[in-house]
Amino acid sequence: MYVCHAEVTPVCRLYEKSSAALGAEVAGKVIRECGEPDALIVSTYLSRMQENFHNIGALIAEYLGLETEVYEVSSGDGSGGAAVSLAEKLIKSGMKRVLVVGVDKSNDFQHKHAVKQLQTLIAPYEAVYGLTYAGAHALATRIYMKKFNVSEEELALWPVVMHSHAVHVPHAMLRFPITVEKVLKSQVVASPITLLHSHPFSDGAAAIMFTSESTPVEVKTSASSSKLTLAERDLTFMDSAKKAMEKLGNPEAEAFEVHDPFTIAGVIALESMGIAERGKALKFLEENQEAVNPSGGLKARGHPVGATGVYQVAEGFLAITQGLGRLGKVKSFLTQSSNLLGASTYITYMKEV
Amino acid sequence: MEISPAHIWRNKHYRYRFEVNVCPKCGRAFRENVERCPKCGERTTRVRLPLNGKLLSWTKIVQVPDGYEDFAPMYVGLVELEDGNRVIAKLVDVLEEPKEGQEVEAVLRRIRVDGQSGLIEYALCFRPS
Amino acid sequence: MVGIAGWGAYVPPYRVSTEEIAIHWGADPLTPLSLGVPEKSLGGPDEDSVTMAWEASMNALKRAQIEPKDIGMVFIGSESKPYAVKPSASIIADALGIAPETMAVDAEFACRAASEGLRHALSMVSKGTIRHALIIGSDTAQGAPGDVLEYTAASGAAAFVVSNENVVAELIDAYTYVTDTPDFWRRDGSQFPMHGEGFTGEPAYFHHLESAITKLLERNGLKPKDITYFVPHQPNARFPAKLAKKLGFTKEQYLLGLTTADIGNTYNASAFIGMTKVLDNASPGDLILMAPFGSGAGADAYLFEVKERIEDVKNLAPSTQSYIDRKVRVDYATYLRYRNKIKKLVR
Repeated sequence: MYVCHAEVTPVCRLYEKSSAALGAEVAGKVIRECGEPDALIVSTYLSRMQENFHNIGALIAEYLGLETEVYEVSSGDGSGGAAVSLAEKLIKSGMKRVLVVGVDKSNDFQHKHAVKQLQTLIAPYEAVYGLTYAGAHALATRIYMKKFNVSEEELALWPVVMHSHAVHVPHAMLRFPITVEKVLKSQVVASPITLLHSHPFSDGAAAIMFTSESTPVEVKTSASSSKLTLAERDLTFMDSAKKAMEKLGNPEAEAFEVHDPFTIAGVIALESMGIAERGKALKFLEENQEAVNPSGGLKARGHPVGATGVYQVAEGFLAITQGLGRLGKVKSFLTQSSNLLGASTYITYMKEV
Repeated sequence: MEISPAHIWRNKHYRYRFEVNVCPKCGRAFRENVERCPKCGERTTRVRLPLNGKLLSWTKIVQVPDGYEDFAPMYVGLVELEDGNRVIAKLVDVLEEPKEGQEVEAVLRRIRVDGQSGLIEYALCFRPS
Repeated sequence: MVGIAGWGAYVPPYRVSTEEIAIHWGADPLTPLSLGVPEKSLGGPDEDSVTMAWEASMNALKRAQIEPKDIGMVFIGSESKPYAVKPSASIIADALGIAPETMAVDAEFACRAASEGLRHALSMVSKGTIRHALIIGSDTAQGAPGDVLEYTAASGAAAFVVSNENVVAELIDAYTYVTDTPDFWRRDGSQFPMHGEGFTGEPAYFHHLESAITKLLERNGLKPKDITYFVPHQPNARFPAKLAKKLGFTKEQYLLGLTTADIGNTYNASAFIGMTKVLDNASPGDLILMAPFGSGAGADAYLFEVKERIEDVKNLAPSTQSYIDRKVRVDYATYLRYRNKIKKLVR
């Protein structure tokens, strides 16, 4: 499978457009570049609850004037990666062009509503006690810090590097630098996670046309899953990420976009994918700053939840075709999109051909 | 109505008593009503988990979800029970900062209240013992 | 032999200073002290009369050493039910593993509803209608902000397992005295109770308790000096002392069970918590006179004789004193928030 073209909207708080309008507009640009697709796959998560409308894929197709097959894909906060993964299956089944549109909205209500809507990622018997998306990552953070003897100061490197990337990325949401001190002093969201360790609530859309015809960017995907129940997992490792990488043959890439709604998730992703040794992800980041989340990651580019995995692949395409932020141009790129800290993981490997 | 009568009713075995449905063949424990193990096909048996354990991890949730404002800030813990099973539940009566390894015991508490006229949801939570 | 097989108490850890409440409302800070209640207990935001009843019952069941499923009646007395309609007793019965083969009911008779349940249970168990019964008094007592009731209205629960087996305190006799006396009430739909101030004393508390206790002693040929421990209803610390003096009981007889002096008036659990503390300390052969009172109005007087088994089961659950000692002070604003008297208005 190859990428014909990709487009993204700036990640931000976008009050003036619905997800259907936003998704259709960005998808239209891609269709005008590559031609009509044989299938449309739409990935979204929060917007269904934000807009109280669950038929976004059908409306995007209508706005695009498409009469092709339409599917909506959902796999929690890994929905974007899941959509790309399914696109490859459709291309392999003989389709010529498959359009993936990731679109999501988080800011139509006050934050506490998005916080509640993100709780829907967590199994009901764990979420009912008030455990939030941030809270789940906080439980993992505390275990990781103890297991690998990592301090809050060391963890703060992650958001600092992410913000330093986003400054150079036009479509990123948080384009300002921060310091370790600021991270440590920012308000507590779910201890030990502070606001500056957390993704912003984001709106955005990304569209990618995949094709069976050769282009300069070839794509391979892989996916795997493990448990959703948080209590029954090793919260410092994502088995699904390890397995998905193995299925791809553990390819080496020059740069990575990993799924980091909170610092801990990015750290664990690098270690689970075998990019960094266990307990050494922050050291790896320090030594390879440009290679990790050149977009700024979920932390600083932003996290339009159901669209995030599509953004990552679009960014890989950008990095290979024209260069991305501090990273510049590369020949190979890996993206990782996970559902709740690795209940399932979707990996995409892109290379210049 | 935010809290469903059916949800409270079908989950009370776990929320009230920590009863799980265990597959005698593969040993997996289901917190929901699963009569036959989806994997093995064996009839599951109801087992009551112990009410004591130790804290493996915890978090103080300040940014609380809509509907939980009256409980803010909320503590949630990952607890290893005496028999080795692990559960996530609310921590209550947190009078000083929790510590990993701390002993905890289960007590029944309110976990959600549906406005002025809806249902009240009760569940076992953990208190430092 | 019918009697109490297991007992258990629960007192939440939070305390508010009654002096602070008085100062907040511009009242004389000596008033709450004259009532003998320097601080009172309150539940946290996740507690109510059901959750407190659960813990007191767990403790009672541990001491009774009786299988929950063999309990044939769950009876809870409370005037702070979480639901106006929907039984607390069924929640407790299910959560404790007693349901479904049980009777279950919530009763209301101001502060003596639970005591009515104790009388029913003792009768039903002795007649063989049921094997064992669980009787609970539990209240997150309400006092309107600014009312004198606010100095004493506290939170707590106590539970007894009644049985013919495993008895630790055998029932010798019980007597009940009821009249229509409007000393304290709460109308349907109103949030806080009203009361007749001084009228709650002589014609209500004192008349009913004196009548019940005098009759009980008389018909058993006993004098106050024959009783080891006297545990009356305790709306504050002053009334029980005055009652004891009138009847001829000494401080040595009533001080042990006067828990209101430490935690305030827990309404349906008021005399019951006192009784649990007495049982924590009693010895075989002791005679205990427990006398709950409820406005509206009625009083019960019970005579129990402590049995040998008590020594074996005292330590199977936390003592009442351990709950009294486990405490943390909160300020008046926190008290108002925890007890749902002020709410975040941002929804």
